[in-house]
Amino acid sequence: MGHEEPRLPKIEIFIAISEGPMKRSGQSSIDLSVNVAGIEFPNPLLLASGICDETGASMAEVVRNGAGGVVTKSLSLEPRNGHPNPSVVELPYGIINAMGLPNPGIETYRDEISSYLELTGGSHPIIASVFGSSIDEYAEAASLVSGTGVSAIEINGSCPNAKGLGLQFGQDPDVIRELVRAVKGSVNIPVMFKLTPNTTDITVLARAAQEGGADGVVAINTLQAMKIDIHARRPILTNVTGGLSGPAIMPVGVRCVHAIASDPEMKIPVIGVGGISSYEDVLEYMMAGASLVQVGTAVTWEDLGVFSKMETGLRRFLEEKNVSDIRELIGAALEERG
Amino acid sequence: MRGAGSMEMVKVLEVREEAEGIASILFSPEPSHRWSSLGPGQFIMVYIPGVDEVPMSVSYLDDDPFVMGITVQNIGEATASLCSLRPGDRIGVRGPYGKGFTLPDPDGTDTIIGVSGGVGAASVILFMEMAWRRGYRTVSLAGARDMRSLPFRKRWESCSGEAEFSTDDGSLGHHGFVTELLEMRLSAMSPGEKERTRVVTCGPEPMMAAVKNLMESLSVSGEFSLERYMKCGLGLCDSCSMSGRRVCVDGPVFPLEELSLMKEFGRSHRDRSGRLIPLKERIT
Repeated sequence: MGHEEPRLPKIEIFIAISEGPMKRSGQSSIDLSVNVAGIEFPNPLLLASGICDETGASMAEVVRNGAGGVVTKSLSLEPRNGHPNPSVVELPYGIINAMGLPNPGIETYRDEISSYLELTGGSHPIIASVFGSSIDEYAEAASLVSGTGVSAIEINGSCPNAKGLGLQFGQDPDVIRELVRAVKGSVNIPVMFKLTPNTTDITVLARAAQEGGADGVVAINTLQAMKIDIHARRPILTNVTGGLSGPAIMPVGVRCVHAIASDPEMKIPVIGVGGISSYEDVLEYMMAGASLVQVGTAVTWEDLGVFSKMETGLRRFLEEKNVSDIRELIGAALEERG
Repeated sequence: MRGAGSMEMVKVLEVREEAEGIASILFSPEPSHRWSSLGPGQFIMVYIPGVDEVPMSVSYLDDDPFVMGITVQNIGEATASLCSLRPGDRIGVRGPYGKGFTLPDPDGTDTIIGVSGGVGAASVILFMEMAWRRGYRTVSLAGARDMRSLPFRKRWESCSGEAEFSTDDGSLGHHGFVTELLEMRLSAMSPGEKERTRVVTCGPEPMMAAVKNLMESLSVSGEFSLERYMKCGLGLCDSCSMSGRRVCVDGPVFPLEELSLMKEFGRSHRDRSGRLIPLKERIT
């Protein structure tokens, strides 16, 4: 590879996206918009981090297909190539991945964020996922990316796939508190913390994030998992272990969101993620207490159309139940707090 | 569709030398429903235990008995280990993935010209064989560095009304580029003939970019099989992103009109980290 930074023109715009206005769903009195940490989302369906988010054009394409906003891939100060293949295992009920946080570094990715904002006209918020190998690096990464036009920071403190990065930050409440505090101190936009389910009690971690000043928590990241090639007698993934996502983890995520949202100590919003592939799944998460949800793996089977399908499903459900505002359903399945 | 792509371990039946540094690996998956939709131009992910997992176009597909094959050029660790497989060795396959070549409406289009360069022939040959069986007039133009590195010579001849070859050193057929053969052919056609012709192509991107220019200037339709660094094959990781399209699910075969909107084609691609780099740089 050349040693000089190649100078290329700014990312080209895929014309299909720039032709004409964003597709809007049919006019109806149903209000799907939600406001989390002061950020207005046209609907509660966000693209989860690490999915279809290599470029601004890709993320804009997801929004054109009905998402209410996007989360970028996890970004670091320096570029990372990620793990060599095999980096995914497809299962009947989910996917195990060990991508290894590939990203071109924030300075380079800045152009993708600009391109996304240009293509979407800023109508659909973009949240930057960041990670680092030390608390200082996290704070520096967050600070750098906060100046690119993103609406919020999502701290990936729980990626199970990169040694020395992420997961060990996300399992220790003391570290979470300090990490969130450091990131909060380095930016002036809202900060969310993404929680791992690979822990004994996720509410302990959620509380720590809140104590550190987080404006919201995101639950859940992938579950640590493994697949073995019985013929070769070895794990398939180059990274040996990976993170399980998809329908298999949906009930785990719902339970985690419910546990966090019903914790009387918790005051900040919860963003639900894990295995969502239908509007019914979205509603489960929201009724468990999620104000917003993120969708990732479902794109494998349903493609990007999954977003508009879920949006239509939500509208129909609300109409049928005579609910005009989706916010009424947030936490609907939580027991009355006494 | 859930789980359609779960990995299936298969035994290698045969490793066939096709040309210098190019070999085909033939294997026989369970003839299940999942493979029924597999067609020319689509790809599978091939897992080599302990080495890598790579996207490969299908180059052989026979029904009875059910045999599938891929064709690889020995250029790196994964392809070297594929070329050194022996019958009985196990590899994993998952798929099929992506959009393949499509047969045009025979009432409007009766001629298919396959243009391939080097190992890009792998996906084109399977499509040309299908078109030949379906009764289209087939013209195959295959280029290579020299005579010894040109794969499928016999297969080209038996599935084509006309087959022409080009080599960079003139050791076989036309001395020059395969695109020159295409230009001569298209230029000699009447507007009516061009309208009834579809070009399908796969090869090095500079070659395909030249094919695209010819097709645009001479108003001929066609499809292109693209290659980008690809990791998951499922449309998730976006590593094969190209002008907002994912080569693994929106392609790898794109029609000319779609490709014309993809400004990264022929100019740039992305490295493993996702950085946009000029096309001439190989991913290391």
